[in-house]
Amino acid sequence: MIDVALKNVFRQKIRSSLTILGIAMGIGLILALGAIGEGLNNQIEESFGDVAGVIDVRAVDNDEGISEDVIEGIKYIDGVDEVIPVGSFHITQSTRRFTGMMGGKILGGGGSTLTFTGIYPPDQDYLIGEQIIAEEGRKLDDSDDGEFVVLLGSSAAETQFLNIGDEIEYERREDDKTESFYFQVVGILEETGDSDIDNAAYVPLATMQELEDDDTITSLKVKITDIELVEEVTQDINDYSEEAKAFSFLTVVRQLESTLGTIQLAVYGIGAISLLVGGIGIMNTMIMSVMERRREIGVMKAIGATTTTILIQVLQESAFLSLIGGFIGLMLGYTSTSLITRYTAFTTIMTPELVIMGLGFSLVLGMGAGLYPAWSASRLDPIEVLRYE
Amino acid sequence: MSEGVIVCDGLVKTYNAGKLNEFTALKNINLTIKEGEYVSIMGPSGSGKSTLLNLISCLDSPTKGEVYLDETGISTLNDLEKSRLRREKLGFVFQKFNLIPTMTSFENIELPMRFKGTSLKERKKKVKELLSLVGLAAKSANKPTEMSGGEQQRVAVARALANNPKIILADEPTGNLDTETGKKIIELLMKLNREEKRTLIIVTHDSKIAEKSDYLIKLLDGRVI
Ligand SMILES: Nc1ncnc2c1ncn2[C@@H]1O[C@H](COP(=O)(O)OP(=O)(O)OP(=O)(O)O)[C@@H](O)[C@H]1O
Ligand SMILES: [Mg+2]
Repeated sequence: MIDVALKNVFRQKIRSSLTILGIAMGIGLILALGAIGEGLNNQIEESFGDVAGVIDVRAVDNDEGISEDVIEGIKYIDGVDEVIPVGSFHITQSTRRFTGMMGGKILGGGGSTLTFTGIYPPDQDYLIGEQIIAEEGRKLDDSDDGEFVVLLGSSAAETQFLNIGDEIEYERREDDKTESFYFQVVGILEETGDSDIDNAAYVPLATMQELEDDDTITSLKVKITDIELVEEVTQDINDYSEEAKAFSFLTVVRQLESTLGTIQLAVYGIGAISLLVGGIGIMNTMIMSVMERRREIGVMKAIGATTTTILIQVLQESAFLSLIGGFIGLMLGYTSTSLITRYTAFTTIMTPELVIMGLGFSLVLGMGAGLYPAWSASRLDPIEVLRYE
Repeated sequence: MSEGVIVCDGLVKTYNAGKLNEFTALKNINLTIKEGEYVSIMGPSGSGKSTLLNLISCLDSPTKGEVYLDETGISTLNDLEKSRLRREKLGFVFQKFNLIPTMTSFENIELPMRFKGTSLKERKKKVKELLSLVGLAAKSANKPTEMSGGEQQRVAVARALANNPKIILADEPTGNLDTETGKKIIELLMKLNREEKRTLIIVTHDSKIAEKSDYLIKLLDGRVI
């Protein structure tokens, strides 16, 4: 008798509409919050997805560095894909020489300094990513080992006003004497959004080792086969050697995610309360509706409706109220999050799971809120109702 | 047990038993109503007429005694079986019509069939039949508020007949109608009794109606006199 239930829902148009609105707002709020939460999660994944799979390994003692043996050993730890030695060299004074139109002129140092990241050229694809291309010039190549060349990240080039062909001065200090070496910019990378890469200045590690007469490796990047293994492998590396300390961004990501989770929980709590209020609205409406229809329900029972028939009828009504609210809430949530996506920099994500959850919630809520009114309706005694009303 | 379609055996109904307001509305009622009989029940207000009808229609259970419908003691039935019995063996006509206000005549009449689970096709056919039987073929889409009292009561009679019940129970069916309209309703009910052999029990205050019945049960203070 679904048609009867549906008809009953619209008997008191204003009352039903208000009840439906209550549910719609609750469901809409939950869905909007959910879509924003999904958007946040996605943003975190996008920002950290690449680096999260890399484990940073640093020498415990910078002078000792990490020994060859340990580096070799780490390669054989389960889950390790690639071990990339990286050197870090600070340029004390940011001075660069122009070779362009003002050929040979030395410009005074400007602002912030660069840090040279020494890498083996074959490792650059692991570190930077194969898909990242040089916007100008070229990336490093194998023959660059031992050469005085530098590959810049987009921000590094921009903030230091460097172009292809410019030279960066690197001062070597030795017993109070300094000697300058000039590295030529051979390439500038496209923007990646990863600040580590965008601010980097990559130089061949061999060149730096030779220059500084020092081949200690103080830092490694460890690529792993499966992101799920990050924590395990990090732990294994730490267990493996006293010389090196491994850590990964995933820990940070996990922390961020758990903070976000807490916030989301609180936010869902707010949504849940608003849904609860909507549910109370349904219950209220249904109780009133059943009261008004006592006589009608009594008649139905007298002429042969079973207790179950009445129970189902009232439950259907309240489920309808709530489901209609759910659908409208879905539209509200969808519209509002679409607007956020369109007019702000933030991208919300309305997943099918959210939609199903929203409608499921409204159905369960409707049934739950209808339970008591339905039960009390089904228990009405026809004799009493018919005699006194 | 005798061959009656309705047998009341030593019926006692006590309201609020054990309380200060304890009241015995029926005191040892014994009745046998045979199939196809037209019985009227008379008695002053408060004599227990409606109480008796409620017991016969399984809406209430007796404090003592037993009602047999078609030789089945109704105290042996569970709620579900009582509901089924009410919608399939009994047809009710009330003083206040008691149609569902949001439903059209058609929908009101088909309601007992929907409770029973009759198919839409059969329902349509039966409702059409019943509407012309009570002379309301033109009012099938009218809601109760769009009809006169007499018309509403005729819809109620049609609804009572929906599942082809053997027994029709009417508690003061003319109580809310003027004499002329009331007479027509009684004639309709009597026709159903005579032509279709349905057992008819009418509670009434009108001795003219009672005169036409096969026999009259007079109640006074919860006893048959
Ligand atoms: N639920 C109840 N609780 C207590 N007393 C009741 C109850 N129902 C009926 N009574 C009493 O039982 C007596 C018989 O009631 P009943 O309704 O059967 O009378 P009636 O003969 O139908 O009267 P009327 O002609 O006015 O309809 C009345 O005195 C009434 O007050
Ligand atoms: Mg009465």
